[in-house]
Amino acid sequence: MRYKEKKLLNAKTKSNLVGWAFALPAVIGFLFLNLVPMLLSGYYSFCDYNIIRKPVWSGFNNYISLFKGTDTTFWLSVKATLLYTVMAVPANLIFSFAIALLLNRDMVGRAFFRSLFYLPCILPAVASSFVWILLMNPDFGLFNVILDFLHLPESKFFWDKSSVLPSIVFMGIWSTGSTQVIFLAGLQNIPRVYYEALEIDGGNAWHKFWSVTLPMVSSTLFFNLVIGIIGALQVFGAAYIITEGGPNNASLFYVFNLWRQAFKYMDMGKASAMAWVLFVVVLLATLVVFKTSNKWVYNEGGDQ
Amino acid sequence: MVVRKNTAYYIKRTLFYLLIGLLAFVCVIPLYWMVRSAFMKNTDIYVMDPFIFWPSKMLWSNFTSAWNSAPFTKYAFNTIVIVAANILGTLLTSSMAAYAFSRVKWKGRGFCFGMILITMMLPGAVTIVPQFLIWRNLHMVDTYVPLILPAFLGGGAFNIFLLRQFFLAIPNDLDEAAEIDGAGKLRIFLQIILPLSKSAMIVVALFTFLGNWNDFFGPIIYLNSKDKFTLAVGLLQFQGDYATKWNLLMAASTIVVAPCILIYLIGQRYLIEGISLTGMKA
Amino acid sequence: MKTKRLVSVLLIAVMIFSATACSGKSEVTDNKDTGSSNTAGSDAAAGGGSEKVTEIRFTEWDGGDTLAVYEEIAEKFNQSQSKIHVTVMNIPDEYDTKITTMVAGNDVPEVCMLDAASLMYTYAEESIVLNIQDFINKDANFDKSSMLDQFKYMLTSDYMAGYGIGSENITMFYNPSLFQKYGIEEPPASYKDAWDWDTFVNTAQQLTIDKEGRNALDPAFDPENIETYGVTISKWWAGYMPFLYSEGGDYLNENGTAIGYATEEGIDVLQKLADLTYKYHVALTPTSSETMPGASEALTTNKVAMTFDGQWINAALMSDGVDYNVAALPKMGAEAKTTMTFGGISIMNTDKADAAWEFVKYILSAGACEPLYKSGLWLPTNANEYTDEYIKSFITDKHPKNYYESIVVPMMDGTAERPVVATIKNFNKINDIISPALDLLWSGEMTAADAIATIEDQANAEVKGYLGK
Repeated sequence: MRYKEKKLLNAKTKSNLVGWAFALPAVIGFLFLNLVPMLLSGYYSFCDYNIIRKPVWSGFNNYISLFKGTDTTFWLSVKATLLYTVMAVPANLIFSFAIALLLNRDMVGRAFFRSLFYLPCILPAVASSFVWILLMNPDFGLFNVILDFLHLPESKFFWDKSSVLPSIVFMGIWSTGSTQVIFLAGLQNIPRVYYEALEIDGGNAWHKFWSVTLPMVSSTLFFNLVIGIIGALQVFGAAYIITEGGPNNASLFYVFNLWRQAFKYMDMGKASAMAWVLFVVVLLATLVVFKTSNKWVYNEGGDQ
Repeated sequence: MVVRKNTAYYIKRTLFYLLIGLLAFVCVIPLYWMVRSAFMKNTDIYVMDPFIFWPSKMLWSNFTSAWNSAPFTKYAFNTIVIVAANILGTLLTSSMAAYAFSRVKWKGRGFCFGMILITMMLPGAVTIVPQFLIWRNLHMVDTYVPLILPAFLGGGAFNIFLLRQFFLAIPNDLDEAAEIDGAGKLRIFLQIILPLSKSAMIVVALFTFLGNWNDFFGPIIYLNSKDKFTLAVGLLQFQGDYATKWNLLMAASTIVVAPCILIYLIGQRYLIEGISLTGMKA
Repeated sequence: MKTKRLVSVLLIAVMIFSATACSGKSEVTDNKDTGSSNTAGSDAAAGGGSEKVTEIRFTEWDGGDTLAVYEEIAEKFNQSQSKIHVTVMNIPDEYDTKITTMVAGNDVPEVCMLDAASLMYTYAEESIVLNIQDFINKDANFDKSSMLDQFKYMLTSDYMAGYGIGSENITMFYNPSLFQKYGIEEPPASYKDAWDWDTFVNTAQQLTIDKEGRNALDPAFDPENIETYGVTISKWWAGYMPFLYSEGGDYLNENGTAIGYATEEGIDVLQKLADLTYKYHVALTPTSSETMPGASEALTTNKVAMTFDGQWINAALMSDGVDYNVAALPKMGAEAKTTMTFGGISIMNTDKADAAWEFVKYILSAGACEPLYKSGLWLPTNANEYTDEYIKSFITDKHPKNYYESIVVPMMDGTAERPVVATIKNFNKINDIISPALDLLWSGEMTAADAIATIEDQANAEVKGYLGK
């Protein structure tokens, strides 16, 4: 970079042009597909708006009513979502990273195993939720049949307020195929020479993991962490398809609640306010991760 | 790697295979149960005997009646069109954006990247109505444009972010060397970054394929005519408010899933190829 | 190298393409005002011209056989006249979201099946759903007596927001072979002879069998290892309303100021239902979700002997050729009751509303939905279809033996009450407060009284009274 700056006076301008040119489709996509809808929803959040009548400005009313807790479901859904996030993000990251490490080893039938671990992700949601519900049925589901066979205590899975979140997390870790694949791709981008160098220095497996693998996948790990947090805070599917927020609101996830406000109670103003509260939370969480990333994410091409 | 093969090694290997086998087994259960149900009578699906591994009488007819219960061949064609266009668009534009966000210095880069990233943070439930209004005003509802054009306009924050992370991990000296040789940014992108990121591109293509193949929300919102529907929507048509013919739904799901598995099998071969490439060049 | 050149050409193409799309964006704002009026103008032209065919859309959520029947009806309607062409628009998921976005986008379908609690009444209040009464009054040819009050969705006493299509009610399904096996008398077909609750519980106990073959009355009975359950109950409002009606209660109190579950009768009903699982060990754990392998399948695999569920299950049981029968629900109070459920069809506020009314008339006309009566899925909602002769004509030999007595008769003699979604204001919000609390009851953590006490005030605060008054 330094070299180039000396060479051409207008290198900066050129670089600017090149950057904008490459980013152009995405920037236009943002302006055209995202910006206007986002601004509108921001406006709705300050309105009384039922999607039918014209929105009527109501100031901070929607926000105030959320935080005052007039609708008790708001804080319930905050609680359910935070609990889920705290459980799911580490569980998914650790599980998928472990699987990726396993699948990255030399082994017989590696391609076969890789495909198997990706399977749960491929199934259409209708089919896979049907199967999970069937497996977790408290009275005659396969899981309880097996637990019973092994003389272990049975569980009500989705249908008990203490086991519903762990059940959803458990179901979730089997569909972390995408995260696994991203880790795998990250692992495979590590140049072998690094390991070989360490072998010459007499490093053992732990050294390899700690001083080569981990730093080299840290940017992938960073990506998966950010996406994992954003995804977990916006968890929706399991509540929508399987639990309907139950039992006793234990899985009343924030976005499910929001969706209900918007399309079941026709209160888009409140839903938008909820969305923007979540937006701020997700943004803060992401910023924290981004800020700390300098300390632990190692980028080869690091001109961040 | 050269390892001396002693008893400890074999014990370790056995444990390793046991562990991975057990984990893989759980992964297979949903698929197994789906395929198993696809061959059964509706009423037999609920017999939860883990020791009955396979239906005694295989009802192959479920597959034909499932496929013929709706214009699935048409749906398959529609799906392929949408998926193919999405893969093309996403690979092109998300890699371009990711390149700009990782390896070109320009004014407004951080801001633009931030803006694109925040689109992931607002739940779609509150933007779907305004988005629909935009497409409606462009007279694009009930066409494939709302389902395809976004892929050509960046392909989504997720893919851009993912590729950016991969591009960042590529050593800088490679493009510096190329620049000394007089290569421009476009050539560096095409001749260095893209070939080195083959596995990441495959990942993006794979996700785009699966995401669009299984997506029903977009088609439901933007398509009105039945003859424009996709496979994922077709699957939902089995589910009425009343009794669902689960065996037929499972049979149709099995057919719909088959190409995904095939694509994954092919895709993951290239994932492995990715290693040797980077391994050699670096 | 060739591929690389191709890629660069594509790249440039994309950049140009994006730039064009950019100019397309400004079009959005330009067109915003003119766009909708343009379409409205062309629509009006289509509707006004006597030679032109008016295109209307009918949206509905059912797939499978029901969709096929709707399409058949639409086809027949299109052939019956030449001025209107109707297209069935199937929305298999996210129905309310799709309709909401369409309405917000000024792309309103002309005829819609609508969920009463979420969309129909809200739209009627905003005049997006029109008053069917107005069309009836205008239409001299329409036979007013073909409509039955029980199927009308009344926003106020003179605003009919929708009319029921495909009526159903909650009934008891049972497995006769299990009754024969244990030598137990089968349940009565007619609601007049319905079992009282104690008889029912006693029967359920005799039919609940553990691994060792002992029934639930046996002192050595092992409730942890049950092979066959006596009964299953369903966890939604239609699952408990019949019993609340039976005890003389309703979803709200008489003045419509408080929830009915909090009354003495309400608590008693809920507790009795929960006791089936936790006191008598004769019922499966009540679980939610329609995707749940339902009662009907459990019935056919000898997992349960009796089940309370919607009569539409007949369609699956009949086509699967299952040996089963139906019976009257038992009673908790003086009179045995059940509840109806049905979807509602509404005319939307478009300039083709008159064409829409023609189609609504057609689909509600006698015999239009006959294939679905024959399949066991639906019952008629047209008064002229409730003649003995017609009913006998659609009951096939595949229908269960007691179909007429246990399912058809209750619709005619007032045993089946109107669905609460059609009669209660603000139903969704009230119900979404009550259901979570009831989960505590269904999981055995609380008594009915305690569970209801946790939300009584909160639910009462959302009570807005009865509709149609």
